[in-house]
Amino acid sequence: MSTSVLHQAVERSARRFGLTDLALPPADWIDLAGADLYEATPDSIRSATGAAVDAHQADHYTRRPGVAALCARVAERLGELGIATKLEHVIITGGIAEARFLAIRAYGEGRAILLPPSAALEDYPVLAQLSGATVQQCTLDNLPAVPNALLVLPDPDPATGRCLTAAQVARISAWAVAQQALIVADMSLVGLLREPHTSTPIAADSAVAGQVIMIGGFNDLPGLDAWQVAWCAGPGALLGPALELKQAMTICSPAVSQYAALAGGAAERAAVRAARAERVAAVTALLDRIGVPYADPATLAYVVADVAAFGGGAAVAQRCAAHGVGVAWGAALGDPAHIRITAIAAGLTKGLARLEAALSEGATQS
Amino acid sequence: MSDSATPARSVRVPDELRALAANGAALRNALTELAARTPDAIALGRGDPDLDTPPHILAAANAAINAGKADVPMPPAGLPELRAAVANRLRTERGIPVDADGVLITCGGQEGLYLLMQGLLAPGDEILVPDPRYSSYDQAIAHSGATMVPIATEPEDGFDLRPEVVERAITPRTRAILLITPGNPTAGIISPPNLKAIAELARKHDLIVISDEIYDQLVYPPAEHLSIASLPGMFERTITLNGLSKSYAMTGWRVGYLAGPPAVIDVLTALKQKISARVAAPSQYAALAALTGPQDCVAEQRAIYLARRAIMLRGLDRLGLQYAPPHGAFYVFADAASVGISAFELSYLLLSEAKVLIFPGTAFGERWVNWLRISYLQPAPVLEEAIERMATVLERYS
Repeated sequence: MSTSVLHQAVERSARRFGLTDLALPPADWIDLAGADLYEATPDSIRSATGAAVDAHQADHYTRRPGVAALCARVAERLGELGIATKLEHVIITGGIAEARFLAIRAYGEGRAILLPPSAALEDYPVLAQLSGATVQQCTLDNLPAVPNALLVLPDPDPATGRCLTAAQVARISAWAVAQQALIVADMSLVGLLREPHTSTPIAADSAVAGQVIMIGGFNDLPGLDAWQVAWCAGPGALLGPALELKQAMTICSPAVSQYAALAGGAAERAAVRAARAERVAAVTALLDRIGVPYADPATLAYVVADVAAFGGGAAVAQRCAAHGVGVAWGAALGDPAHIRITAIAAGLTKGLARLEAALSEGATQS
Repeated sequence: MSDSATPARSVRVPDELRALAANGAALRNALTELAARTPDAIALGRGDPDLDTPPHILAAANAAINAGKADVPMPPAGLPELRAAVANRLRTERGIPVDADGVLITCGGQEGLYLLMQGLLAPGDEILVPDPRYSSYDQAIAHSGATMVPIATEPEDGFDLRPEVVERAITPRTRAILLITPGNPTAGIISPPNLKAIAELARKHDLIVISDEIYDQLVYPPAEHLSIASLPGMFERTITLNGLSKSYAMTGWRVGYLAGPPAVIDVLTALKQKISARVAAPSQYAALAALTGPQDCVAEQRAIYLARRAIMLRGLDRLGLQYAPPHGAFYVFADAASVGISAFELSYLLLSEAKVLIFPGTAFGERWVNWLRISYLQPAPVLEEAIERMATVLERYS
């Protein structure tokens, strides 16, 4: 038992915030559980970023909310989704985790935070604890009356990849207006939607747009996971606390990463969609071959499979771990029989072979 | 020198700026943005070195990017080679007994500060912070729920921290003391005898020490830097905070680090993983090159700042502004009481009429109503030009 004042302080924080020990994965671990896609950054992005580095554009703090051209790019992309946004209302963050923390910490204090189950996949319960907010679990089809609440709205849903329907969005909008609630719309999967799935962003509804903080990333571009760049946006009247917190946390986001995100365009987006579709097809082909039912994938990142016949999510995840591959499972997926498989780039073939071995063991035992 | 005399005259300042007068970080940002919109303005405000990141660091970053190394998500605590390089530097140059597993890589020193406040403090705690202070501490401390207790430093002491003043501020609720040497905004250092006495106080009262050493490589002789974590019995109660931004002109890359006992770093790493996951991979390769490559660039930049400091001090002498001699960093904290206009208003006046951006002392503590923080992060001719412009305006208002 550690007794120094430093140890006592961090142990207290670990208890307060529910922080668990970080167990590093064993050697040769393949992660099919997370959001990282392990793609290579395309040469076009590398060379454009290299040019920015050589021109000393990465040397200094950027404009505080972010490089103006990148903020404008985000605003433009939001405009394509029917959300009117100005570049002045975009903050570039050091990755999607930071964007989530900014939104919850800047706006959660003093409010009840409503979390649908799938929000746990994105660490929202811990972020809410860090914000000192009260947390209430909810279902989006039956939101409780909680005045001034903050609703975390992951859309598309990270558990299923599915988007809310227009009717669901309209109901949530009406609820938010009635409760004067703030909505944190987590749009991090929008860029990964697989046709014909489309999103009806709640921020596009003018009745509630003034109450919505949006967060998202650049995962519509390939190979930027490790560059740690994402965004947070919202109406000017709301954005002040997030800006102030961003300044207090990191001053600005890494310039080199901002220029990398700026370097990617339509060509990179198109190319990576085809590659991602092939990887999703590889996952579903395996599941077909061994007779595992799965939902039609709604994104180019995840496949959600029903492994009830193989012992259920917990058992399959445990066997997968023994084979050196991680899959997502748990209550956040909505059904204990489900697992979520991420169609990563590097290591997918090996990961699927291990998954197959783990599933085969289950089939034998059942 | 004066710190609280009532200014004799007032200047018309836009209401939107005046509304921010009590919020140090917001005021600094607003003035910086105003300067950016002012054609031909000379910025002596932010602590962002104007010098370029050295070419070997840029080359290494580009090599890592082109080799695909930057595509691979980093472990939450940071690139192992970078953690080892940080530990090696702290051991060999600062005498801090830390290994790689006692290092956490952060998104600039600023994130390190934020993590420390959330990870070490809780509601009901008090943390002692020298006054004047880098006001970005404020929100980080406020978010922890702890209370910031200012410890006065005085210009006649060169803004050194007196142990007896520290001890008077300690209460049963005091959990930690934050030290920054060289200081921001004062550029003063905590002298080794005082630092040793403060270490003794920390041991006696069982306090955590947070040692912000972001300017440790920018100390000007005869002053010397001493890391408190290198003193006997101090490593176990100290977290040392540092980064690459100031010493290597790398503010845009956003790489800092925390160093301390490994079990403590483990919890801070878990906290970082929740808050921001990890530091950008390309930036970590740039930082690795900075720490493991040739170090001539640090000495070269220090020599440039030293020459600029001389220009700035001559200029302040000419303007009749008093100051405590700066021993490090790239700031001068100067007393403008003789002008007869509050520092807040004087800052606006200098920006609007002289087109020179300088931060008022009130951005670093309520008490410093007559003081200005001037950074000398401009080439020598530009500094000379700034002084000329300031002289013109001050003569008009004197």
